Order: sequence, then structure tokens, then C-alpha cells
Amino acid sequence: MANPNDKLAKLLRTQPAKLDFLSALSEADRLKLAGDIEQARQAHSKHIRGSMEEALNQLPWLLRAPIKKLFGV
Amino acid sequence: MNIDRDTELRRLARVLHRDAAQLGHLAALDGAGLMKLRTLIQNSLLEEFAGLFEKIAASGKLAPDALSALLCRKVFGPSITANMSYYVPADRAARMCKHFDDEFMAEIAREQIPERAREQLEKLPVDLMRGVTRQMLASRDYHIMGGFTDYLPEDKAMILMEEIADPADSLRISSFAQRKDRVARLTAKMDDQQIRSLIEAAFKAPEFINEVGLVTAQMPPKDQQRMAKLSDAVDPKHRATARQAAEKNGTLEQLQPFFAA
Repeated sequence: MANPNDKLAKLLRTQPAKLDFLSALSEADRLKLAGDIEQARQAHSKHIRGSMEEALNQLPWLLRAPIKKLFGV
Repeated sequence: MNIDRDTELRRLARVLHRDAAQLGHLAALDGAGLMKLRTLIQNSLLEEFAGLFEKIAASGKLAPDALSALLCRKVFGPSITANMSYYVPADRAARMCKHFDDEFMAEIAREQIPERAREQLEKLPVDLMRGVTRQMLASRDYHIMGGFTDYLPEDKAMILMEEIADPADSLRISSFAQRKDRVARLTAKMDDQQIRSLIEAAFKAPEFINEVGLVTAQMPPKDQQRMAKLSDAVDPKHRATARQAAEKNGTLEQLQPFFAA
């Protein structure tokens, strides 16, 4: 049977064992928490990618592709 | 450290882009659990792009400070600069900040994780922080200021408190600071008139009464007795109100010197 903390551990980039303190929450509450984290992660990711895109747009277009490659964007 | 649950819930709610009231499903977690969860979330968000930020920071390490700062302002912007700052040596980051204006620095601070910026806060000259403090007060970023209060060297915090004209703002910032013991020490250094103004502001709103109680509970008996005397000077009825709040938030025992004075 899957550990109910597995999904949260993946989202939080940690080991399920390190999330034992979340055992106080019911499975439904942990699911809701996972939804909250996923939404926050998506918002953060969109924000960072948008900021990076904006930064690249400041550069001459010929430089954008090699810099994207260099930074792995 | 005594973790105040409500303070931590407010901070976690900010990280999750939620209102504290929307986090009822976390009711079973205490303050320490919420803090652990918030730290894990913030670190995981940072780690997602850690490779990128590290590369950007490394690419500029040989450039003069002024040029790197110019790139941060004109190309990278505050969000990337803030995330990259954790990978730049703190003394260099402090030198680069000398080339930033108050607004840009405030924007960087809004994106930073205070726990991770601790070393930078130690190195950054307090005069550069004054403008940031004014900017944040104007934009009502109390949750960010409260987070930084936990890690700001106390001598610097004392100087920056001079920028806070409205005592209600001090209480709003304190409500997001977890280290109430630090706030207590800073408050104890205020003069009598400042503390009277703080008490007056506190008793105008129930959440502020709670906050001033949490802070006073962290004071040694002598300072609590001073708070009691000054509270009586503002209005002797305040003690009864404070007692009700203390009974509710579980600080009655810690506040014995206050109530016995």
C-alpha cells in the first residue's frame, strides 16, 4: 500500500520518512495540502519562468538562444 | 524557541497564496509543525530552479560589482536577483546592494526567504536598509518585515524601528515575527512614551491585544512590571482585557509578573 506521504514527499523534494510530523493530518487533509502545494509550485514556476523570459528579452535576440542553452532554460 | 501557531499559520498562508482561514485542514498541526512545513515548501520551490540560479550567480563572479549590479537591475530583475542572491557570497551581495535603489532592494526582499538571507542581513549596512523599510511600510508588506525581524541583527532592528512612525504598524509586523523574544527585547528598549503609544494602539484591536500579550510574555519580570505600570497609565481597565486575552492564548502563567505588579 502506498505511503500517504509519498505524493507530498515528491512535491516537497524530500523523503516520506521526513514527513512523519504530517501524520497528525487525515488522508483527506493531506490530499488538500498536496493540492495547495501544487498550486503554489505552479504559481512560483510561472513567476520564475516569466521573469527569466523578461530578462532574456532585454538581450539582443541573437544572444538569447545561446544564453538559454547555457543556463538550461 | 516558542513557536506561536497563529503567527506561523499567517506566514504559511502567504507562501501558499491563501488566507489563513482557508487552511482549516491543517488544524491538527501545531506551530512547530506548520513552521517545518513552511520551510520545506519554501526550500522545495527554491530547489526547483537552484541549478539555474547557481549558474547565473557563477557566471557573474568575475565581473566587477557595479557591472553585476547593473545586470541585476537592467536584465535579471528583482525575482531572479533575489533567488540568485543565496548563491552569491554575502559580502559581495552587500557590495552589490550599494548600487541598487531602495525600490529595487525592496522588490528583492519581497522575493527572498529570510532564513536563507541571514548572512546578507548581517553584512548589509543598516543605512541601506532604511529605505527598504520605508518602502515596505508604504506597501504594507508587514508579513515580509515580520519574517525578516526573526533574522535581522538586533542592533540593526533597533535602528530600523525609528522608521516606523505608527505603533499599529509595529504590532502588525510583530504579528508575523516568530521570535517574540526578540520583539520583546526591542520593545523593552523603547522609552515610556513609545510604549504608551504602543499600548494605546494595541487596545484598539483584539488581534493587537493578543500580540502585545505574546510579546510581553517573553519579557523578564522587571520589564513586565514596567509594561503593567505603563498600561495602567494609559487605562487601568486594560489589565482586565489583557487577562482575558492571556487566558485565551495560554500565556497567563508567563504573564504573572505583569498581572501581579
